[in-house]
Amino acid sequence: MTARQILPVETSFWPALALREEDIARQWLEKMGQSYPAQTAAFIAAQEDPFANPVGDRARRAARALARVLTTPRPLPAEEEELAAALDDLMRVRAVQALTPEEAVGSFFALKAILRASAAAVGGGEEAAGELADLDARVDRIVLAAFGKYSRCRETLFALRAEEIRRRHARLSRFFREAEGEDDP
Amino acid sequence: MSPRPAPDASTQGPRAEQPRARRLETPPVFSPGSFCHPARQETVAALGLPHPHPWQPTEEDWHLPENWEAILRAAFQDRLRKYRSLRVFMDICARCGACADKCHFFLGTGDPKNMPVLRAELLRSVYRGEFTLAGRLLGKAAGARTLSKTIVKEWFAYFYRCTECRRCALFCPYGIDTAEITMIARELLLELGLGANWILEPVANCARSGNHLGIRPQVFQEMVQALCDDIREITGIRLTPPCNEKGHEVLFIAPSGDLYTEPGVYTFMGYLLLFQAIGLDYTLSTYASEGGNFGLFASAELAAKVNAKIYAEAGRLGVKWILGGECGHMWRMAHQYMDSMNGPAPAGLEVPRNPVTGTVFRHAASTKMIHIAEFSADLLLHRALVLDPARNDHLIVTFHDSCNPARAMGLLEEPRIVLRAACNHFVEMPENTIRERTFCCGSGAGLNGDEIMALRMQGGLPRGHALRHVQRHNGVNTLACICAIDRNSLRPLADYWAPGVSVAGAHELLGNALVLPGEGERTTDLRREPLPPGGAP
Ligand code: SF4
Ligand code: SF4
Repeated sequence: MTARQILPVETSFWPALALREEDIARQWLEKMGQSYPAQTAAFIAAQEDPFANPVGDRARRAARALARVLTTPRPLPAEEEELAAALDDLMRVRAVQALTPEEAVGSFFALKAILRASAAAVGGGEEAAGELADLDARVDRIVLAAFGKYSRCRETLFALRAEEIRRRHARLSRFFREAEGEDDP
Repeated sequence: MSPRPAPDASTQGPRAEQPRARRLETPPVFSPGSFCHPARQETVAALGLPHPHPWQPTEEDWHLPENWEAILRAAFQDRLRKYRSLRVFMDICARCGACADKCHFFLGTGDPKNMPVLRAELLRSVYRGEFTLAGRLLGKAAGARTLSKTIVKEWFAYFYRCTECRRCALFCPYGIDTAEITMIARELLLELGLGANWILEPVANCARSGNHLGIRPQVFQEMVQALCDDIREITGIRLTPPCNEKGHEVLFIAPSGDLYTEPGVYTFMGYLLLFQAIGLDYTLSTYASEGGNFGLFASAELAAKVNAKIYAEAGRLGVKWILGGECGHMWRMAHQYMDSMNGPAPAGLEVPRNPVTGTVFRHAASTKMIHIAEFSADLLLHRALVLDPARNDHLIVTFHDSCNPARAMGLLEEPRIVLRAACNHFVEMPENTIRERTFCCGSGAGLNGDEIMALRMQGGLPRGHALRHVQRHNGVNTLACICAIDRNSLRPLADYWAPGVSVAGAHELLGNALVLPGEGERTTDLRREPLPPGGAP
């Protein structure tokens, strides 16, 4: 961070936004936490041990990856991969919790407002319209990706139910099929 | 789940803390995937339980008996009289919050009512309101409530979102055991004819045929034979396990799931290979054909009823001691309750003694029953088994401490001794997720019905998160356990949270590695998957 901090803030949009990377991550994390009751949100934010707070760990990782990718004009492939993995981890959680699909995915839209406010704070007004439009489009793609992951998780959940029922009586069914002289498939 | 802030409230920052009494008033929500199917009327009737009737959690009217309040009050009073522990647990909670964030259901669902302290408060508030003077006088100010139909619904919702895992108790400075509070609450609900089908049906089957699925003796024997056929094809060795025979030294009882579910069957094959390797003088039984005991998840009475067959059969067959398979709650039962519920053990039984090593298992002096993990660990520590662990070299194994053997029984080292001997690649999950501090699979205490798969996955998150970690960082591809419920429930857990990890019993891996006199060269493991060509993966 020290190297970045010596940049004059006015130089250009992206370096200025990059200075706010941590702040953007924090704001989004807070926003995401609000889909839980206040007491839970406070816990998710406070407990730092990743294994004592798996939701917080996954949310923090996603927040970091989102802020990293959205504060640079051209994210590195490794950064994009990290975001995809972090989103996958987080959406697995959100897809099984008692959230509506809108709630599960909606918090990603908040990135637009957060990014705009951050841009405004660093002087990225009218002249940054192009960059902001680019960011909006990228947030849209992130929302779509998150929704895709959400849907696949829901499908997996139903598949797991079916598979469990099959496996539960696997040997018994085989036994009865064989007893009735049918072929083992 | 408790209500979330309206979307427009989200910019206002975290909400102020709700007063406890108000949060408790939030009516429970029965959304799909979050509640157990109710026990069928015929099942409740078959078990001779009170007030069998049809009802649905999602409906407004649960058709409670007319005098439901009197029934509950009397039943609660009765339990308070019988169990001093319950009175203590109701009285002494200091609301310190040490347990609050220790429950896998809180961590996975984010619902504050899944904090153990609030779960217990659902019962404790009624205790105060109905049975204490302060509660009667001060009411809500003292955190007291009187019985209502909403409270009954809340109990059904939240005491069937507790797997009785006892993790919270580990962190409570007073040792308050929320699992036991859950057990009592479930008993109270049963008095109104309210139970979970996934729990009571196996109990009814056990009462009729001795095992959860209601398998008849002939089928039981055929299933064992089928596994022996598989063993013969894999190892070239023909086994003929004695069944219902008098005069043997040991009665072996496995959870019946190991006979007919995958991957449990491979663990059963491992047991049989072990007995063959050491020439154990044992018999199986079609009467005591089930080590599992879903009665434990319903009531003390049903737990005792289901468990009675173990001593009855040991006495009838005249064995010297009892060996139990890889089961979790069977050990909670054997270790904590069997003595007082079904004891004393029949006269002819002796303190278990390993016939190969001479080790006497004195901790089982009263129950006369030991867990196969301690038996095998003893054999291994005495170098009494010949192993070829390279047969498991395609596996990088980690171990899930199932709540009951770990926390209720202290079986922490024994399964690890087995796994380290049987496998060359063994990795631990992060230390605050194993041993005494293990996280539940999320499907224990009868919460392993498929209708609550979403809830189970939420409860399984902390375990899944740790598993995913060792999968990513250590290449773990196998999750071992010593519990039959886990062999089933960790399967979807792994598929969801750490796809690519498979689940195995410790004795399946031991069975793979065991070198038996007279066996042919093995080309596959017990799952008939090709053995590794040699060397690390
Ligand atoms: S016993 Fe386990 S599931 Fe029940 S409240 Fe305690 S930690 Fe949660
Ligand atoms: S840790 Fe024990 S005393 Fe503290 S809130 Fe939980 S149950 Fe109560």
